[in-house]
Amino acid sequence: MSRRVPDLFVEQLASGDLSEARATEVRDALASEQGGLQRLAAIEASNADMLSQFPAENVIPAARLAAGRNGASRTWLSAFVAVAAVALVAIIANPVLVNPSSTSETRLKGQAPALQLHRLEGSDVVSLGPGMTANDGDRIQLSYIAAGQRFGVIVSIDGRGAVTVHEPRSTGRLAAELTAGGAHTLDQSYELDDAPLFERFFFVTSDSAFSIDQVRLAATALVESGDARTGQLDLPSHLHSESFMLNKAHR
Amino acid sequence: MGIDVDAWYRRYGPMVLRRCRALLRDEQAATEAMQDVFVELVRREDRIVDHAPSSLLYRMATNTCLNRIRSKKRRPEDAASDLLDRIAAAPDYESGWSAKLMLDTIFGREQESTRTMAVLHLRDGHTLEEVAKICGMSVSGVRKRLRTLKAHVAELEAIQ
Repeated sequence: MSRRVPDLFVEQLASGDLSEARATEVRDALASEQGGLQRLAAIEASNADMLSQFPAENVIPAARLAAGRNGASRTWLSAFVAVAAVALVAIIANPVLVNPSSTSETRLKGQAPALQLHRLEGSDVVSLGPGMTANDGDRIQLSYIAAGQRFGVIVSIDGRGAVTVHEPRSTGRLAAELTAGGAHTLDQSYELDDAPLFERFFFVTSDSAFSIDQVRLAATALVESGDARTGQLDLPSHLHSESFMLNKAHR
Repeated sequence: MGIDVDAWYRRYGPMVLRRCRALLRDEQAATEAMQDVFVELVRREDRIVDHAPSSLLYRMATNTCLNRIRSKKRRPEDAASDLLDRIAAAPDYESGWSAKLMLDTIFGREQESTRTMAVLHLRDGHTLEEVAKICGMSVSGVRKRLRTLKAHVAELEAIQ
């Protein structure tokens, strides 16, 4: 019985990397393998989808940012990373099982992507509106409505200028794939720390994958501009941004 | 010299993602591993010669996934993932190597990851001759390196 053609050879055939003679060998081997030619067809069919989902225009700039080869100085980037790390430490994250989307207080914004904030008060879940006041120690639950957008990043800026990424929570470099179909609640809630004045959240979305660092850098630039409370993130036109600000008070 | 990373991504990015998906079986982890591969490629783009890019990226993806499996210590789900776990957990040819060092050696063509060779041979079904060609080594060199993993990966016992 002949062996299954290794995936690498099928990939090389699909990408046109093989010599004519070698390509014929591999194609013949696939033809004699049950489902072999379907494997080749599946690869060719999925390439366009993958590049549409993770376009080079977004992935490679993100890789250059991560590799420190985007023209920005490494010192500046290091300082930026340090600021983000401090912000992460400042916020305590604990899993909380709630489903704000099931409450009657869910706020919808038509077809536009939107953020929803809820305060957890014991067993109650209270919807928060933009501009409302929250206290240090309040536990906040974030939800989003993707409204057809496929990728998103949620960051916050607090009154001390700390930038925190809330979604995605993984260590990847690209925006999270958003969950469609109404409000989606993040799997963790956040306890507000004692940063003064305000806590402002941004929900940045797009049809295609984009770099988290793009959003982080824009948020950091907004902090440095001194207009973090009311200004907008400076982002490319294909990225959509919604913000939600809470005023802060101390207990 | 150097390469066009953007062009490489457009041509081979889907292959890298498919490889990561197949080895990690976790969409988020696979996407991150694919990104890691291209971050490393960017870091070394000036030093790489445009020679056999698909083999290079396939090996990089394999090595990156093995490092992730090694660090995660996941629970084996079936025989195939159990084999990957054992290969990932096995010490490599060089003791005390780091992921960065390993990628350096891949690009320098000095020491290919022995564990990557084991995956190519045992999981993917490549012959030793094919592994040698993919890794730019001699067959005897591949055989010698794989023998070092016998104690950890019983499937390599057959290699003389």
